[in-house]
Amino acid sequence: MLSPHPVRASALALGLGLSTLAAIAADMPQLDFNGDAAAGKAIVNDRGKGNCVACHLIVGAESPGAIGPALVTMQTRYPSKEALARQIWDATVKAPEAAMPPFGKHEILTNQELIDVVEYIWSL
Amino acid sequence: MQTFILSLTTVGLACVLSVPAFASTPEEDKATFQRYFQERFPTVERQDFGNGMYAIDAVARENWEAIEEFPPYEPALSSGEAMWNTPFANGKTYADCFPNGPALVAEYPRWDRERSMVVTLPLAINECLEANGEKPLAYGKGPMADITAYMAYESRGQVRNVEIPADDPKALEAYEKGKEFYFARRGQFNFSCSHCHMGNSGTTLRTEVLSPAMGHTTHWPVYRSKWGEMGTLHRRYKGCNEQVRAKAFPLQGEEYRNLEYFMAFMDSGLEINGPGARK
Amino acid sequence: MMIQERFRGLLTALLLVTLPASNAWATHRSEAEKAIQDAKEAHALAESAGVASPETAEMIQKAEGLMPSRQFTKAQETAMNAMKQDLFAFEQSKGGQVDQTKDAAAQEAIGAAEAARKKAASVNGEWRDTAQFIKEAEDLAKSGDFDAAIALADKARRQGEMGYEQALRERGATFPSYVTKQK
Repeated sequence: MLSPHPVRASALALGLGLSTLAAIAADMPQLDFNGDAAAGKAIVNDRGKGNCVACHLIVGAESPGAIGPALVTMQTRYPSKEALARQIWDATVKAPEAAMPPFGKHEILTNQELIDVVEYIWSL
Repeated sequence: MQTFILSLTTVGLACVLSVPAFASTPEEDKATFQRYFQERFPTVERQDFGNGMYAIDAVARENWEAIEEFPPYEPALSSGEAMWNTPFANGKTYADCFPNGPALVAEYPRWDRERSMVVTLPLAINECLEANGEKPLAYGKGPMADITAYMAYESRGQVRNVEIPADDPKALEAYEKGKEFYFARRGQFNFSCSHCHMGNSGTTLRTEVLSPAMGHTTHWPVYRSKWGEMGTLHRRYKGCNEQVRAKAFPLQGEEYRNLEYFMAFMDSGLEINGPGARK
Repeated sequence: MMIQERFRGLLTALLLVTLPASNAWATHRSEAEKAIQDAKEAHALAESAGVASPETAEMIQKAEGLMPSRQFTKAQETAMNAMKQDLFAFEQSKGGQVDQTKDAAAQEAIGAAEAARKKAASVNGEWRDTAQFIKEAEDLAKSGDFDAAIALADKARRQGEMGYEQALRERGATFPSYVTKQK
């Protein structure tokens, strides 16, 4: 028998949490999506940076993981580079339980690195 | 009217704040946890979960079984046995501290009523040493791993049966803290333990298969090829925390002991099968 | 046949000597030794002006300690950091122009970062690298590189803030929604 109370508690927590989030302003800023795809590819494959291949299949990449969806036909899945960037910035906005780290919000990548990564991933 | 609204709000608030009282019990959590894994991996026999990814990856299992022919933890077993049998400077031995030993790994972790804390085996070992005027051992590797390897080996087959005394609310509190730790996101990478070891268990991180959480506490300490030596459960906790870019907590500190309490309870019913060999 | 073999032997011998000695192989021992020598000179300079710190002396010792294990890159880096700090202290003592405003701003940024780190730690939300960033920012400030110090300190401060917020948000964490509860 599932108690309805946990839902109420999480709603309250969500409200409180969202208000704290607003205070820190971790939204993606306006970015100029004119990056360097080659640099982006290097970041994507770098274990210390994007390391995207750890979880995502990228055709031709070395030893890809299979935790997230394969990164193919990206332009049919995202309406714009900006939409793709937002997902990489913080995937939990769309899917609160997503495993994917918030590469932008948590400053795992710099804004320039994010722009370059988007340029590369967009081309897949 | 205003008093009515005020009392409604108070009742409402009280209801929300008392949510923990309506949360699931440890028994319910355990049933949930174990059922989740048995459904996710229906071909794995219950006791086999103690073998981690070797229970779910056939090729890796073959390699692992070959390694187990000449287990890399054998030197640790010899050292550990020697430690157990060597008296301290004052003439006493480990057997004096642990009359039921060495086969008592399944008795830990346990709740200590007097001190209101979770006691793990390594902690108990160091308390024994200090009580006898000996220097305590480091918690991550070395002699502590050796002696617990020996004790685990002697304890093989014993069934995990962690107790959360119903009449001590602090025990439940420690369990709940461990549970919260397990499911909370942490570090720059924003992962919780459950992200890799529940919903993504069985998938591959690069070429590593993520092991299911069920069975995570039964096979320690392990000889881990990556370490090139033996290591303890809390050493792995530290490594995992740092891998998600969170600052690790002290080995055998309150956070990790509570975490072990929760995880060991989730493994209730599984047999001790340590020490283990892992990649 | 014999000439070819001898040539191959000579080539191998030549490569065995020249490759390790060239820059193709990371940091060379001589580079690290030079860095340590430079650091010692800078330290002596700072001492002459009475502004040498025990920290830079420690860093030089640490660099020397890394040499037997052939950690030349790290030794060079550590020695160079010590040298920068000692030189900066020396320049300051000789009446070198220091941007007081920037110096103060750097100290403030570092202080704010440390406060944020402590706040995150108080709720068990500290991230792995925050303390390291703060230490590096302090070193940068001591070498007079104030802009870099401020940037790094700000980054550390944001890590502390995010770690704090994360820990608070995760309170009450429990089974994910994809796990159906058992009764």
